[in-house]
Parts: sequence; structure tokens; C-alpha cells
Amino acid sequence: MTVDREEAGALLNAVEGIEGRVRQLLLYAHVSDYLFLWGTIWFVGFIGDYLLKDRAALLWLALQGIGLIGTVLIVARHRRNAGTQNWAMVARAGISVIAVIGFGTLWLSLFHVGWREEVTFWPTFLSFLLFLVGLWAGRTLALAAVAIFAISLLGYFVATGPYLLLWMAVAGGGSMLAGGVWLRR
Amino acid sequence: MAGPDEIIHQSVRLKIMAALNAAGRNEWIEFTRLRNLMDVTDGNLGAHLETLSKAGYVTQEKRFEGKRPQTRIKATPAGRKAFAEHVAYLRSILDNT
Repeated sequence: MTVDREEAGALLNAVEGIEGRVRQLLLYAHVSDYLFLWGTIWFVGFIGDYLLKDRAALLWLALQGIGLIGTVLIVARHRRNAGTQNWAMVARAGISVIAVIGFGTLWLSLFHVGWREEVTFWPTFLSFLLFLVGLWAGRTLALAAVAIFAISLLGYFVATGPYLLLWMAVAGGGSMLAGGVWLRR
Repeated sequence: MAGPDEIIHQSVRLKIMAALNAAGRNEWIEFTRLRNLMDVTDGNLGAHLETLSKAGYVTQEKRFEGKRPQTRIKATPAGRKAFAEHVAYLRSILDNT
């Protein structure tokens, strides 16, 4: 069997194209796991906020703990599947979650914002971070992030009183879950 | 430098191995997802997978995802090695001419 330069070049191009698509699919599957996890947490948390009112702080603390552990487990599972179990990377994932929650909590405390701004901050902030990842990783992810951001922000303007909490549960959490399904198509 | 691998060299099989190799060592790819990536028919993909399986380059697993039957495929270590050598061979052609 002889292979000329032209054929070799075409085959290598095809290989690179397929490798790129598979890496993107795997990344989308990875991100969709986070969307399922955090979409569920938002849904439960905001419903809890609506029902429990001032007593929901403990619920959010527990949910954040679940989110932290869940995120670490997702990273560990993906690293194991990739065949490159890397505990430093798993630890970095946990630190990232703590850093994001800490950063948001710090600035919300310093700015003394109202509860509506606080409720709207988290979905818009996290979808903004997701959008930045999507700019590098792929258009579908960026579009999903924009949709989550827009739906969450819309709630701030149209959902009156405590209905904002229900909006964030159903539209915010729901759009994250829908985004997860969309990325897995 | 090893010569061409006649099993992997066929363009669809080369792309199948590229896809499976790009996935992690313990990562499976579903048959339907692989078919969509390759843009081939079920029968065509099945035939190429059979050839790769006989060569020991891929392993296939049939299971149920809920109530839905699912076939998933993974590259074997021998398949990854053969793919890497074939790609190195193709690169050497570009480098040497």
C-alpha cells in the first residue's frame, strides 16, 4: 500500500476535524452535568426560599454543600473516564466552587443590595461565567448561557414580589436543566 | 517508523479510531453518536466496527440504558497504539516529501 503526500494530508485533516468534534462533545457532556446539578439546586433552593421565607438560609447552606460535593464528584468521574485521574485537578474544582460562592457573597455583602438584586445576581453571574467558557469552548454553550442569563434577568423586571423566587426556580433552574439537555443532544 | 496499518487506513475506520482515541481511555462512545459523527449508515458503521473488533482495536458493549438497548464502543490499548503509529506514519509522509 502506498500513500502519497496529498492523501496523507487529507487523512490527517479528517482526523483533526473528528478529534475536535469529539473533544467538544465531551466538554458539552461535562458542562451539562454541572447544569443538571446546579439547575436542580436552584430549583429546590428558590422553591424553599418561597415556602420557608426567612428560614431558608440553612437550606441554601446545605444546598451549597451538596453543590460543592457534587461538583467535585463530577470532576473526579470525568477524570477517571479520561483515564487521567488527577487529584490536584479535583481539588481545584472544589476550590473554584468555594471561590465563586465566596466572591459573590463578599460583594453582595459589601454592596448591601436588596433581596431582589441578590436573588437575580447568582443566576446572572453564573451564566455570565458560563458564557465566557462558551466563547472558547463552543457556540452552543455560549448561546445556552445567554438564554439562562436573559431568562433570569427578565424575571427581575417582570416577576413581582415573592413571585421572583418562583420565577428563578422554574425559569432560572429550569433553563439550566433545559440547557443541560440541549448540550447533550 | 512503522508502515501503514491497512485496517486503520480505510478513511471511515481511521475517523472511527480518531474519535475513540480522542475520548478518554475509559470513555465509551455510543453507537448512534459515533454514527452521527461519521455521517454513515448503521450498517456501514457496524461493518467497520466488526473489522476493527476482529483486529482487537475496539471493544463493543451492549447494555440497557433504562429500557432502551444501547451499544457503546471504546478503543482498546492495542487500537490506540495502532492509531498513534498510523498517524505518525501519515505525518512522516508529509515531513519527508
